Amino acid sequence: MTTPAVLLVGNPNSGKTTLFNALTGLSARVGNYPGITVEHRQGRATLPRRADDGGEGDVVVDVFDVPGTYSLLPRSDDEAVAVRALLGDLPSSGASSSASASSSARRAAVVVVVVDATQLERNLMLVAQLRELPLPLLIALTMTDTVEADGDRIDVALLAQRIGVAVVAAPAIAGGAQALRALLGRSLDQPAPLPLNPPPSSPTAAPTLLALADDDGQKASRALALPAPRALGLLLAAAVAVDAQGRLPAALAAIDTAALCRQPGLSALGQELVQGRWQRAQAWADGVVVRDRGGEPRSARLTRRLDAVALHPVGGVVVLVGVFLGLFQALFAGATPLMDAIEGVVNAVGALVSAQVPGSLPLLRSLLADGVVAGVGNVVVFVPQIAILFLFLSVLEDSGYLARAAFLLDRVMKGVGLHGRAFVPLLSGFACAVPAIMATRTIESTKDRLVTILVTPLVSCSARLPVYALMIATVFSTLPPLWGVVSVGAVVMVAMYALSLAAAITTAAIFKRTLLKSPTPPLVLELPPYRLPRAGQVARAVLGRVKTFLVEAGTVILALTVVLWALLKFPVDEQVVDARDAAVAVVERELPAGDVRAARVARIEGDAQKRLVEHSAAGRFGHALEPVLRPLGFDWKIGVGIVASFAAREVFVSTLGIVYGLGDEASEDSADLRDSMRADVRDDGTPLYTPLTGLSLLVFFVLAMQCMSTLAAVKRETRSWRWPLLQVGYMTALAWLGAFVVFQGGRFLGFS
Amino acid sequence: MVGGGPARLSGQAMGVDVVVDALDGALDATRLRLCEMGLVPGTVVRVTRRAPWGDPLEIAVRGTRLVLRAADATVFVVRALEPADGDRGAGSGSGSGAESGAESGKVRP
Repeated sequence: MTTPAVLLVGNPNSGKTTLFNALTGLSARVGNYPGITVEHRQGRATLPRRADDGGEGDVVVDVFDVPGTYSLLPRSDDEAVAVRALLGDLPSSGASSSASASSSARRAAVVVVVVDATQLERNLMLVAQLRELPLPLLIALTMTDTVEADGDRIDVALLAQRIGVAVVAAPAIAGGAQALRALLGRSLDQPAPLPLNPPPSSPTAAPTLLALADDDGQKASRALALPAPRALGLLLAAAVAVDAQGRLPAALAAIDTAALCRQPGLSALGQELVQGRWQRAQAWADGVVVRDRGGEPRSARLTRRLDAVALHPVGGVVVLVGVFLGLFQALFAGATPLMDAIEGVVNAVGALVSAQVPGSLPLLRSLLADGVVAGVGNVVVFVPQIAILFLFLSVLEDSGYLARAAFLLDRVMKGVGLHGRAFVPLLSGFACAVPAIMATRTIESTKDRLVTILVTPLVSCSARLPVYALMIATVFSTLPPLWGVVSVGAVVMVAMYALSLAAAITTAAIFKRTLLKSPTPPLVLELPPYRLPRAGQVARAVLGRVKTFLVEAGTVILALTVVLWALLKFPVDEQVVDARDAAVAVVERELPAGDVRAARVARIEGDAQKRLVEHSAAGRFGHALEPVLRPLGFDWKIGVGIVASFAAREVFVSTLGIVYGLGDEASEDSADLRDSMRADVRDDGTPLYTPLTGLSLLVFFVLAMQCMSTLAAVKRETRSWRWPLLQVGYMTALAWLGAFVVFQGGRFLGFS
Repeated sequence: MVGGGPARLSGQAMGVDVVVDALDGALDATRLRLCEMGLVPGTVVRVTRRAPWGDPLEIAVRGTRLVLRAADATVFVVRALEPADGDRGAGSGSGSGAESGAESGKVRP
């Protein structure tokens, strides 16, 4: 016997997820339908049950939590998932993220409609739509504690009697979930209540109904074994998705509401049905909340007072800037000590591993220390930023502020052509693209989400700073300040940030009009009452994100780190190794232990490392790239740096250190590295690192997708290699073009 | 109302209750959603706020606060609230003394 399924549906902000968490406890996990990125949550709950034959015992059920929706006519992927689950296409258990699901559609034994008691009428509008379907409904009223705190009473029995389904008060405080559990246990084997007819259609609607009955209506009617008029009501709710075989759920995710609205006749009918459902919802809600006192409820007053500031034309903008400055500061400054600590631990573990592996196995030692341990470090180092960003996002979302931010920012983001919710990912992109790309999840429209994902890595992240710092220190710091006061380096730095923003916005506009063509995202947004976020729920959201990243993106990052390690290590030039070992042996024999000897050994080893890297696959690739890179002003050493820095942009600096024979510890502050770079000349004897080369290289790094971790995050979020590869392709092309224009344009204008 | 044509939701002063009369124009996905959020004929609605650059608007409808763009609000034709509307609310057919007012009768300014 399969485990019965319980499905939770409801409006956004109805407290559905809180209820889900209370029902399922620690068994909850996140899953996806195959092929789409929208998540649902799934967990197990144990219900007390009294069987009809008098026996007692617990029963275990699978509980599903799908995205909130206002309507059964989906307007986004999120809503389509809710509708799909409602109409009998639950993901089969145990296959949440594999592609094997959906072979056999699974219907919910009970559908729990979560209804916010403080917004009763609006929430009952969804109930009115659901009551027209043959579904085993049950209503869980949330926020009843808020209603009572306002001094009002709610007549649960009256509501149940009017709607014709069982209703239970399930506030988030203790006992709410328990009451729901008990009712669920009793409801499992109950037949679904008889569906209501769609609202009485007016005389004008009748001919349209008749005309449609020959077509889609009959198909829907057959598929659902419903009388034709009811199936027609459904037609406007969901049955448009009946596929050629007459199966209902198959194509539900693809319901095209916009196309439906254009159908002649359906527009007027649709409006009438919506109006009729509102009348039903209104009649159900009427008088259910008994108000003993006049005046404004306390909860509404708090929200009104907070919004007087948070949405004030001036004050609101100040608050907005403050909130996002705080987020930004936390991402930038708050994460740094944690990331440094992680790096410290990783280095220590690497050293420990090196010490454990015998010196006779240098490759194994290097694989473990520089490949595996460094790879794990490359993954874990992102955790602080991801945790901080999602901590902020969860709090902002749960409190209701994120909707206010969207209200204030809509005008700006509409001008850019991006979704209002793209603001947070783009801003977070200044710290790091990896958490930023994970944050695009809040954008409902798939196309807008993809556009945001594609352009976010153009935003200048903090990993580019070491490259900026090195280039500015090497080629720009020696220039005289502009007008005697402004340092050229500062101007260059500002210009790079401006370039990155301009590139992101322009590219987004291009994608919006070509590959991912879609209209400016519509804005219909509810401003929910402010609520205090629940610590448990926030912690759950943060941990869930971190876990997903570690498991899904982390494995890709780890694998790529090892691959890149191998490219920089193989093939090994044995002659260089032997010569190095011999030279070191000589030095160690002839010189006494001390600073002088250590310096000599370091130089020998740095020199050998340089030649080994040059000999490696990555080094040869860098050499091979030289013809392509020469028009940008780069030589093969920069080529090797670009290849190696695909691990992470800051690796460019240490790789340059290696190819200049300074070992692998060089940083952007290293004077030796700067001097070596300044001393480097081209074949014709002119210096390699001129301001023009520096600028060209900076532009390249602003625009290039030099980050395999971002690649892994995009792969994880889009669930395909198509988008990350497109991203690497277009950004590399853009970077090459940008650097080409700078270098050749500069030369044309007479700079060197 | 000054100026030709019927009054539109987008042109309403802040804080004034009006009644939705009709949706003027073709239905599209966004407008249908607005209907589903409560903007159907007979519903009392009030513009409560405008964003810093005048767009979008915040409205109060059926006990909910909703944000929509002025371009979408323009298609909703509204008329002044008359005493009779207090009884009509949004449910002209229910005849059950439905709650009225943009805040479902909870707040009357």
